[in-house]
Formats: sequence, C-alpha cells, structure tokens
Amino acid sequence: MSNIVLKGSTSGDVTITVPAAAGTNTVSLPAATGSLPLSNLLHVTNRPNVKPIVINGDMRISTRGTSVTGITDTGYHSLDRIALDLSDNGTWTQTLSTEVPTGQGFASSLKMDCTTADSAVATGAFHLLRYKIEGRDCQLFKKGTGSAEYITVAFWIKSNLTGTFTTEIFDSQGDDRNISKTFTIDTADTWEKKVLSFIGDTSVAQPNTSALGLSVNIWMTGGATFTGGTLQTAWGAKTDNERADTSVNIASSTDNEYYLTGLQVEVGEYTASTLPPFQFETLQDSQMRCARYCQKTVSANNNFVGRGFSSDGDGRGATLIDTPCAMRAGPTITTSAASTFKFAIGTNASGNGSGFIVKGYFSQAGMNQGQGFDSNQNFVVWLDISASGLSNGAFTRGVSNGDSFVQLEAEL
Amino acid sequence: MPMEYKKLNMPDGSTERTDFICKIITDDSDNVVTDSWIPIDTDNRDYVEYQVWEAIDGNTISDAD
Repeated sequence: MSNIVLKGSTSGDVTITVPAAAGTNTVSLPAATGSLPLSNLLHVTNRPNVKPIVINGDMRISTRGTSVTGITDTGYHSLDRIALDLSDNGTWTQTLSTEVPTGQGFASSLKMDCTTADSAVATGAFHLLRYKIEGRDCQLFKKGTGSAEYITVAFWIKSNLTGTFTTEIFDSQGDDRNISKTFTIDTADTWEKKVLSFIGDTSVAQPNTSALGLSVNIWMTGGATFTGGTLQTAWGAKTDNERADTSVNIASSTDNEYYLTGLQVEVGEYTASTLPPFQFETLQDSQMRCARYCQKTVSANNNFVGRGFSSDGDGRGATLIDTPCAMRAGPTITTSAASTFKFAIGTNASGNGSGFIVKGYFSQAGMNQGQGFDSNQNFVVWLDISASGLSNGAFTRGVSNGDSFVQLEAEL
Repeated sequence: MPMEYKKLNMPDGSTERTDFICKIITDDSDNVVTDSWIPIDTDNRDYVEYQVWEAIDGNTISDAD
C-alpha cells in the first residue's frame, strides 16, 4: 500500500503518500494535539538566513523623519532602506503610517500620498519602490551558479486604485540583468498580500562587495520607455521597455494613495500557502541594521551634540561625535547650518558657529580588525566649526543652538 | 530649493581638498538648510549623483571659498 486516503468530514479528502522505500523506516508522530505545519516546515529546516533579508520590511524605522512632503524625484525620503525612484509622476508625501493589515503583527506601513497629480504619463516617467541589497548579502542566492536559488518576494499592499503592476528583480552588477512578474491590486482600499516567486539566475555571479547587488523593484507606474514591450519573465539582459507592465498611472489624481508593509524576500520557491512567516526583528536589531546605511542625531537648543575642545585659539571648536556602528561606505556628512551649533563650558557658551572648517571621520581600524569592511570600521565624526569666545585648549561640550542635526548616509 | 556643489579647501586655505566636495541647499531667503560634505568616492551614492549632475552640459562645481 503506497497511499492512505482520508475522507474529509464534509467534503474532499487528504492523501498521505508513501514513497518507494528500502528496508524498514519509522516516522513517529508526536503525542500532541494540533496541526502539522506540512510544507511550511520547509522554512524551519531550509531557511538559510538567520535574520530577514529585508531590513525594515515592517516599515517602522524612519531615521530621516516620519513624513516628507513635496517629493518629486528619486531618493531615500522617510522610511529607512526603502528607496523611491521617481521621475515625471506627480508630487508625493511619504509617511510612516499606522495603517496596517489586521491581525498580521505589523504596526506601521509606508504610505505614499499624491499631492500634485500628473494626468499624462510621460514617455520616460517612472515610479517605483526599490529595496536594494548589498552584493555581500546576495551570495546566499547562489546567482551565477548551477545551484542558483529561487527568490520569492512577498508584501502587503493597499491602494484606492486597482489594476496591474509589476515586481522586478534587477541585477545592477554584470550586464544589467532583470526578471519581472506582474501582480494585481484586485480590490480598492483593501490590504492584499502578494507572493511572487522568481527562478534563480544561473548566469552572472554577484561580486562579493558592499556595492549594490540585487534590487527588488515594485513598479507603480512606468512610461513607454519602460513598458510596452513583452514583459521579460525570464532572466536576461535588460531591455528597457520589457521591464514593467503597469496598467495604472498612480499619479492620475490627488485622491490616489498606496500603502506597503511586510516586504519579505526569501531564498526558495514559495506560494501564498507555503510562504514562511514574516520574520519580525526587535526594534533594537532593526535600528542597528538600518544604521549601517543611515544615522541621524537631532538636538534641541543647548542639548549635547558631541565632545568638544577649542582647537585653534578662540576661533575654532572641534566636536567629536560617536557613532553606533560601521557603515557600508564612507558616509556623506550632512548637517544643519553652522549657526545651529555652538560650544559650552559649564553655563558659558561660545558664539554661534559661523562656518564649517572640517567635516570628517576617523576610522577606528583596530576595533574591527579582520572583519573585512572596505575601510569603513567603527568611526568618530569630527566637526570643526568657526566660533568666537573659546579658550584655547579648553575642553567643551559641543551643543545645539536650536534645531541642529547631523546625518550620516551610506545608502546604496 | 536652490542647490550648489562647491569645492573645499584645506583648513589653512592653501590647497584644495581631494577627499570631499560640498553640497549646500538653501531656502528662498538664502539660509542654509543642509550642508553636506560628500566623500570623493564612487561607493558613495551622493558622489555618484554629483558625477551625473556634473556630466550635464552647463553644470559646474563652484570654486572653494
């Protein structure tokens, strides 16, 4: 006997199959009440990654700010690790929203709200959310080998617009390869979970570097430059007009909005019924992983910014700012105006900053010896600011003179 | 908002820096909103963005103060 068929209580049946086997084999069932996870068991035994591949997939970290208005072009705007590629497709506000699918464990989502419409889609227009993965973190996909793994992308999405959209996996290394699949938003204003599985790419390996490897692109609108051809549903060199198939202009009206959360990338081929559960991280873990790409400190008036000392007579103060971790690459150091910084000893304050003399960083190479970062070990940020009223050689506090910020960015 | 890329001098003003350039965004009243020092490093996406900007005819980085 190779099969056992159990009739369902009201309809249907369940077949237990036994493969061809040699010798005597014993499988013991647990003496417990419950449901077997069946195919979901695959993720327990097979998931090769300990932490989720997508950082901030639950959309709760927004280092740059919880809401950014007036967005008309490409960049990282609000939510960490989620890039928006945007051109010629309206003006948008991106917000960390508390609107979430019920009962899934999510507390926040990314919201895109159209504030200025663009009724006609220009030829070169594009509007897509992108999650970019470092080459180092793509190695587990075994791309470019005969063992290349399936990649499954899943997310929750909601919009007032229904229609066809596209998810694409794009390989920026090598010769710009891609593979795309469409998905539909079937019901307006209703959370829907999308699961799309992509076959592995046996051509073109991913360099093991901190440069951009694969990106997962969710196309909300594409002009004729990116649509109109036959969608490329197998890995191959990129042809622009075969990248996306979108029936919708997401910027057609200022009534338009969409939400996204639960972005998940898995190694392996999964369906909606076999997809492993979303891996939630603690807030601390998520913040630290985001800090590899973006860090920001904001200080109110007289609040501490960093350890300081007067470094050149009474006209120049230095502030040293500790950072929590290494970053992907040498970061861009962006601050508020020099006038938002000053120095303080006790209750005495210097004059307000009048200009930046140096912005830089010291790598603390010894701390991460052997970890193989590309020269980006733990580091200290260094701001030298022109300011009067300092005593030469005195140790001070670098403080804020109003709303000051220091932002470090090493995004992909 | 108005944006300007600028070269930077070493602190003593003697030579031009070869490790950073500067990007300044001001509001309509010419107040500095953000002042970014960008490493001259193609691993940094802000520097790559600068290179794209600089390649457009008519775009030129300003000299250091």
